[in-house]
Amino acid sequence: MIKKYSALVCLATAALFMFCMAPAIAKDIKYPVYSFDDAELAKVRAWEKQWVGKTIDKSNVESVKDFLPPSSYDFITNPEVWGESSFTVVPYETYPFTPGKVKFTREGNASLDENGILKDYVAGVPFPEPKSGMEIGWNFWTWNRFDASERKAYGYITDGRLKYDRNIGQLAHSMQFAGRCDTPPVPEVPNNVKQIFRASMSTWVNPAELRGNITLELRYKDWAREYDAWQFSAANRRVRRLSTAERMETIDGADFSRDDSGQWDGLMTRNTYDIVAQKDMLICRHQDMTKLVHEEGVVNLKGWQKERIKVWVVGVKSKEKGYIYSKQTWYVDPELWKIMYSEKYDKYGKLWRIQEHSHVVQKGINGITDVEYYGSNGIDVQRQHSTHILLDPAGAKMGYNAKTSFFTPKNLLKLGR
Amino acid sequence: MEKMKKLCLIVLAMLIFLPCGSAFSFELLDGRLHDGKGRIQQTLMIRTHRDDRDIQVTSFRTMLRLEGLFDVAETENNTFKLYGFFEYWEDYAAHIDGNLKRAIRQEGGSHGLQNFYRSNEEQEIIKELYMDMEFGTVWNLRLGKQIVTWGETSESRVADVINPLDVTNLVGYPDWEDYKVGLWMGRVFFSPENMWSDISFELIVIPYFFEETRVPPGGSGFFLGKPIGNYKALTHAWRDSKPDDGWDNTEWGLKVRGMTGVTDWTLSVFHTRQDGPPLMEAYKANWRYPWYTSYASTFSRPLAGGILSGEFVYNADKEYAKAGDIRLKEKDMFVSAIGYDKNFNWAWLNKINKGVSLITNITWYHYKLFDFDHVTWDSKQPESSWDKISIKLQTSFFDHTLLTGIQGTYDFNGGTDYVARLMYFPGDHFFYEVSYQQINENEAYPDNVGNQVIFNIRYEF
Repeated sequence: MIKKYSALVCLATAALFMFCMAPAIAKDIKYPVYSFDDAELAKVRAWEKQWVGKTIDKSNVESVKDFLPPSSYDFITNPEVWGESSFTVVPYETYPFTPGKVKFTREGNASLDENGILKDYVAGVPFPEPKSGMEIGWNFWTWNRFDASERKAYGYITDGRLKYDRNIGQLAHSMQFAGRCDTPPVPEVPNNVKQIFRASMSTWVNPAELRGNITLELRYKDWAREYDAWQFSAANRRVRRLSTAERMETIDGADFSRDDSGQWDGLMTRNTYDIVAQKDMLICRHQDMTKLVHEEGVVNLKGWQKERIKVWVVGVKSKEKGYIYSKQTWYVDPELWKIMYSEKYDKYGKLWRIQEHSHVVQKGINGITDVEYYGSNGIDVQRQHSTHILLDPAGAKMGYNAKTSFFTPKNLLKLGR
Repeated sequence: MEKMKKLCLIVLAMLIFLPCGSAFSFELLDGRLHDGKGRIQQTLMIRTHRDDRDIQVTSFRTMLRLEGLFDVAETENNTFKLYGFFEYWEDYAAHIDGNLKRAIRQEGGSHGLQNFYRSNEEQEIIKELYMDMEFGTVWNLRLGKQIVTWGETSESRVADVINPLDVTNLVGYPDWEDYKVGLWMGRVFFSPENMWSDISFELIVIPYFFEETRVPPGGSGFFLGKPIGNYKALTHAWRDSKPDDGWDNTEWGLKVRGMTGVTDWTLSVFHTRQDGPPLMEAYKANWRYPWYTSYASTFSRPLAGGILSGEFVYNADKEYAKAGDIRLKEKDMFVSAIGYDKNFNWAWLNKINKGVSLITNITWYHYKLFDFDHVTWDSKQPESSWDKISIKLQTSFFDHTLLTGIQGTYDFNGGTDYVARLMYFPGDHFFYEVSYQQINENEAYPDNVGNQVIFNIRYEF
């Protein structure tokens, strides 16, 4: 009898051990994950021998049509509408994987709950080998580049029909409170009482009517919680809260809203995400920013450098009735887990906006080499209207030692004067 | 000579600043002078109906505004910065409209006319000039002339009572800072880290000098209806009766600010003299500036996709007096304002102005006088309480280059006004505006005499 019970207890203990350890055992996380395996890369290199250094324009775009998002192809084939548009093919090059990102990704134990909400996430990439569109979405949404940054953005709001520009300028600060990888303290700042995930502070310097306005946004570790946002209005010297509805508001004539910041900055819970394809495409991953130029009145930027990469194409549908975008198509980089190109459709299902980013690899103040985007091309295809944001990598303070006290409403009040 | 000196200063300032305009506003002295910005503005106000003074042009004003921040010193934990904000204007309306000049001379006197022509005093020209000292992230001290904003509402001042107003500058639809009078003060911010509800403290001490509310000269465009006979004497007395400079003028205020959950809140107290004196022995032109204490609380929080905000103020011992009566009675007053901001992103509107919402605000104001027994000067109403509702609607077209808006106030005790505005921003610097302001007829303003069209051209750099 005793033997029988002993055996049962042993079996139960073993079962309990297996149950508890199963996730850990199962999580043999491979990271970094590169875009191509050796065989694929060999094919890509062979293809590159023919194409690298070539300029793709209307005369030869047909040959690479399958490597372009439909809207990008349209820009090149219709110069009378979008202005002369072209890009140069450059060789594929992998991105740097920061030591912290590698460490936290490999140690990760993230999963999705029954509602598709990320749980047990600490830092790094939650799903380096994603199985669903939702997992790709979380990989993007938990982005962290340099842990903190200060960048001066300048740019142009361009009317392609009337052929004129307005200037736009912003001083942008961003800081990870949690999900930090490389700049101490990692993975989270101490005393993060409000459970903030990421904070940003943006000061408008142009256009004139927005000058001096400052916006503070806090995103929380509670993924379903709406952002908190405040704005210091220079006109009436008041700090006021921004409502969630204001996040979808077009920002002063530009071709993006707050939800479009960094391609998508809304709540993950707002959409459904489906993998449409995983295919080779030509995407801007390493850009010499001196070659990316804006011309007055021209909707598209010139001088793009694009390389062949196997992107994830994700179909995104809004669950919210009345949301400004009925659906979106994201082209997601499999190494950076960033949306590199996106197509956004209006409430009637008609293509409305596209956003394309150019990226630069650089060494930050923290000594870590990482990637950030320094050019943004937002085009309203229905109105031949665009917003170009260009940043100078040399003037940026990436990986700087940001202070949490900077990202508070009371500091917003102080900065606002 | 004095005028020439001012004009030379303006030209000099423009010569310094204009060539330095960039995407990031001014930067001078190796970037130590930064955040510089400026504005040149021309405003024209024309009445659609004429009153007994037969005035048509009420203002034709040129205004120059400059501001900038100078880095004085910086150590690892401390920073010292000097902030300056200057404004100068000249009004030519009295040169264009002889009836206006005559009315001001008669009702405001030659001193009134002088005040109407241009900003004459340091208080008007130096709007702000203060040293901003940061000691680590916890302590921040600002010493100098400052404009302070407390409160949540933007249409009426409820808790925002620190600075007096210069009503003379209520031309067009100015920013608050254009017609608040800067005060010399010390302001201490204490922002301890890891406090419950992220609480921070702000202490204000306004020593020695007292500034009263500045009223426009009699006969100018702010006066409607019948000419006021003794206004010149009244305004002279208004200024002459203000207390002499001295430490017994010292005003102080304390504000506690916090965020609990998703609610931002403030609690504040401000002990001050009344900026505008209660009407006392009016016809003997005798004024007083008594003390009172304002206790206020404000909040704002998200609600149903919008922002709900409110202000509650209890003005203890604030004096109100019956118009034309020499009696004066201490009163307490309670004021509340509840507002709701919401943006509507309707499909039909989106078809026209892609991605731009209709921005709306509705605010209900309630005023309650305690210990009430007679008509008050402030309200002009015979009731002990009164209410008003303000509504604001705004949207834009053509990529925010064309802004339209309408805002109005409905006073339950009588009196409605509204203004419709059309603004055009064609590029980076210029701004054009046409507004129509209607003040519904009432006993004080018969025959639509308050209605006017306002033109505004602005160049920002």
